[in-house]
Amino acid sequence: MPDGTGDEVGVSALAFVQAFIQQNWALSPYLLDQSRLRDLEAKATLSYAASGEMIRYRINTPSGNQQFDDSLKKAITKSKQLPQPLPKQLDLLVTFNLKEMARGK
Amino acid sequence: MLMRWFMICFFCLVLPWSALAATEIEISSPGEQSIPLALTRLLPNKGPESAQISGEFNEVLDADLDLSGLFRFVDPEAFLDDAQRIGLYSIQVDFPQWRLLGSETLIKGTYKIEGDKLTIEARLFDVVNRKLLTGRRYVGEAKDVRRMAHAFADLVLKELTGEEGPFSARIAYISDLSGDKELWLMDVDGKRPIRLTNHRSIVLNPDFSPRGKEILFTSYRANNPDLYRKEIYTGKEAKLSYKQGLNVAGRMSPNGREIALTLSKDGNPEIYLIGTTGRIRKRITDSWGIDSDPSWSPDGSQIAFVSNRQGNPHIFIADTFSGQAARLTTQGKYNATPAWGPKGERIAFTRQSGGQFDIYTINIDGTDERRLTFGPGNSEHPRWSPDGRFIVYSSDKGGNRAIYVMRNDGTGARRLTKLDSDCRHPAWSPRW
Amino acid sequence: MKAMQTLKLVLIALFLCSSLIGCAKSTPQMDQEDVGKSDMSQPSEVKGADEGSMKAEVVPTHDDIAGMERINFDFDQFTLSAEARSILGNNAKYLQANSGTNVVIEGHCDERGSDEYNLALGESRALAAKNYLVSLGISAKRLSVISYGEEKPLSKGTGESVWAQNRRAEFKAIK
Repeated sequence: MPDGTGDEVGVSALAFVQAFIQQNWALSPYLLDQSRLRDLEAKATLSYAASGEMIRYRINTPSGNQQFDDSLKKAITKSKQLPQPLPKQLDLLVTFNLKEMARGK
Repeated sequence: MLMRWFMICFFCLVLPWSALAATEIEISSPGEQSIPLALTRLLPNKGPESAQISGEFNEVLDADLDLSGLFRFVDPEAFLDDAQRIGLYSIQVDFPQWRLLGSETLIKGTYKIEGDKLTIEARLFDVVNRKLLTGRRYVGEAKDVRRMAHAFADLVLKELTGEEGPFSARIAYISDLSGDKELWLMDVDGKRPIRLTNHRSIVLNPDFSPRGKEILFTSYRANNPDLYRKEIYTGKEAKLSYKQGLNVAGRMSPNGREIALTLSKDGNPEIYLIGTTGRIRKRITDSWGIDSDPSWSPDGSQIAFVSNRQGNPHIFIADTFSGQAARLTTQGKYNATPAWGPKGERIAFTRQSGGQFDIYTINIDGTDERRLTFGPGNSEHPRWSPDGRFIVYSSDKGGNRAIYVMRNDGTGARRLTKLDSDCRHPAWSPRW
Repeated sequence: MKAMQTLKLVLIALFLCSSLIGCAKSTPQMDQEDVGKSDMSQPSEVKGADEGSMKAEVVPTHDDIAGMERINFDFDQFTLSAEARSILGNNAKYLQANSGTNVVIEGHCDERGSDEYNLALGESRALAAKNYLVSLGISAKRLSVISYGEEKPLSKGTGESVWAQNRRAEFKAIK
C-alpha cells in the first residue's frame, strides 16, 4: 500500500502535476462577485496511477459557489490523463482558491 | 431526482477510498482567467445562403461577449471541420476537436431564410462535459438579426453566470447631430441610432421608466427647463413638471410611482418627489446650497444626490422617508453625477482632479473607492447597465464628446457613437 | 401511494434510459422563442429625421439689449465680483432709463462639471444678478431668470480663456 507522500513521488513530478492541473483550470473573475474572491475555496482528492491516468477523484469540500465549483470539475475532467507517466501512484489533496487573483484586485 | 441517483452511486464508489493519506498541494489561481470559447459562424440550414446574416450575427455576438470580459476567443483560423458541420444536437458535435483547440465552450448555430422570414437557431455547448447548455430558436425578419444576436448574448451570460446580459436593452442619449440637442435612442453597441424628439431647442438628461418604454427628459422647448415624459413606441409626449425655474434631472423611482427631480421654484435648487401626474408629493432636501442630481437606490429607500451645502460639490445620500442626509464622498473638490448601481452596493460618480473629470465608484458606506478612468479628456455621466456589469458614460477624449461603455472595473472601454456630433447624457434602459 | 409508486417507476425508467443514451441533458432544448412580435415594431422615430438633410434652425428667443453688458463669474462660483457689481450698476441705470423694458437674465456655465449641477449653478448666477439689481431699486417684476447651465456656450473650445467667457449672466429683452 503506497503512503503517497510527496517525497516518494519526487518534487519535480509533484510540481509538474500541480502546474498541469492549474493550466487546465479556467475561471473568469467576471463570473464571480469581486468582493467574495478571497472567500472561495474548495478541496479535492485526486489519485493518479503511475501510468498518469486519474483513477479516482472527489471534491471533498466544494466552495458552494456554482461557477467556482463547476470550473473545478472541468479542470479535473481536463486533467484525467497526464501527458507523461509518474514514478509511482500519487494521491493528492488539492486546495483550490483565488488568493493570487484576489491580491491583484 | 436524477442527480440524487448519480450522487448515491458516486458516494458508494468513492467514499471508502477517501480516508487515505494524501500529499497536499495548493492551487491559488486558475491558470487561465477567462473561459475559452469557440464562436463558430452560423451555417445555412437548407434555404439560400447569406454571408451578411451569418456575418452580422457573428459580429454582434462576438462584440457583446468580448465586452463581458468572460471569454478568450479561440482563433477561428484554427477551427477544424466540425465548425463547417451543422450539428445542433450534442451527439452530433465532435467535442474532442474542440477540446484539442483548448476550448471549454462552443457556440454553433444555423440560419434559414424563407422569403422575408429569418429563423436562427443558436446553441451553447459545454465542451468539457460534452453537453448542450442552452439554445434558442429566434423567428423574425432579416432586419432583426442584430437583435437576435443580442438576445442570444444575454442568454449565454445567463447560462454561464446566472445573470442575464443587458445587450437587448437600449441606450438613450442626447446628440446635436440634427443641429439641436435632441433625444436619441440606439442599441447598446451604438448601432441603429434614431432620433426621438424634434424640439429644436435644448433637450437634456434622459432617464428610463422602470419598465423601459418611457423616457423622462428636460427640454427648453417652452423657454423654461421643463420635465417631459415620452412613450417610446407611440411617440406620445407630455409636459410633466413645468414650474418656474429648473425642472431637471428627473429620475423615476424603482416602483415607477414617483419621480425625484430638481426644482428651483422657490429660488434655490432642491430635490423634490412628484407623482406621475406632476403634483409635488414631498420635498427631500432643504439647504441653502445647490441640491441636484438625484439617483434612487434600487429599493427606493434612499436617494444619492449632489450638494454644495458644505462648500464644494459632494455626493450625499438622503433617506427618502425622513430626508435625513449624510455625506458620502470625502476626497476631491468637485464630485457630481451619482449613479446608484443596480445591485445597491456601489455608486458611480465623477470627480474633477487635475483639471479633468474622471469616473469613480464607491461603496455606499464610503469605503473602497476606485478610480475607473484616467483620461485623456473628461469622462462624465456614468450610468449602469441593468445587470451592473457595465457603465456607459460620455467622454471627449476623441475630440468631440461621444458615448462610451466599459466594464464596471474600468476595463474594456469602447466608443459607441460616431465622432460627428456631440453626444452625452447616456442612460441604459432596463431589459427591453 | 399508488401515484408515488408510478412516479418512482417512471423515474427509474428515466434513469435507465438516460444512462443508455448518455446524458439526459443532451436532448436539445427546442425552445421556440419568438423575439416578440410586439417588440419588433420600431420605436417611433420623428418624421423628417433624415440625417444631414435637415437644416438646423436657430430660433432666437430673446433679443440682446445693446445697453446691458454681460457679467462673468469664477469657476463653480456665483458670487459677484467688484467688476460684475459695477457692470450691474450700469445695467440698473439703463433699466431705470428704459422703464418699459423687461428683462430675462440668463445664467450660464463653462462646459466642465455636471450638467445638472451646472443648471443649478447657472440659475444661482442669474439670481445673484437679479437680486443685486433689485437691491439697486429695479422692480423684481421686471426681471425673470433662466438657467442654461453649460448648454449654450458663448464660444466653443476649451481652455481657461474660453471657459471664463462662458461663465456668465446675460441680459435679454422680453418681447
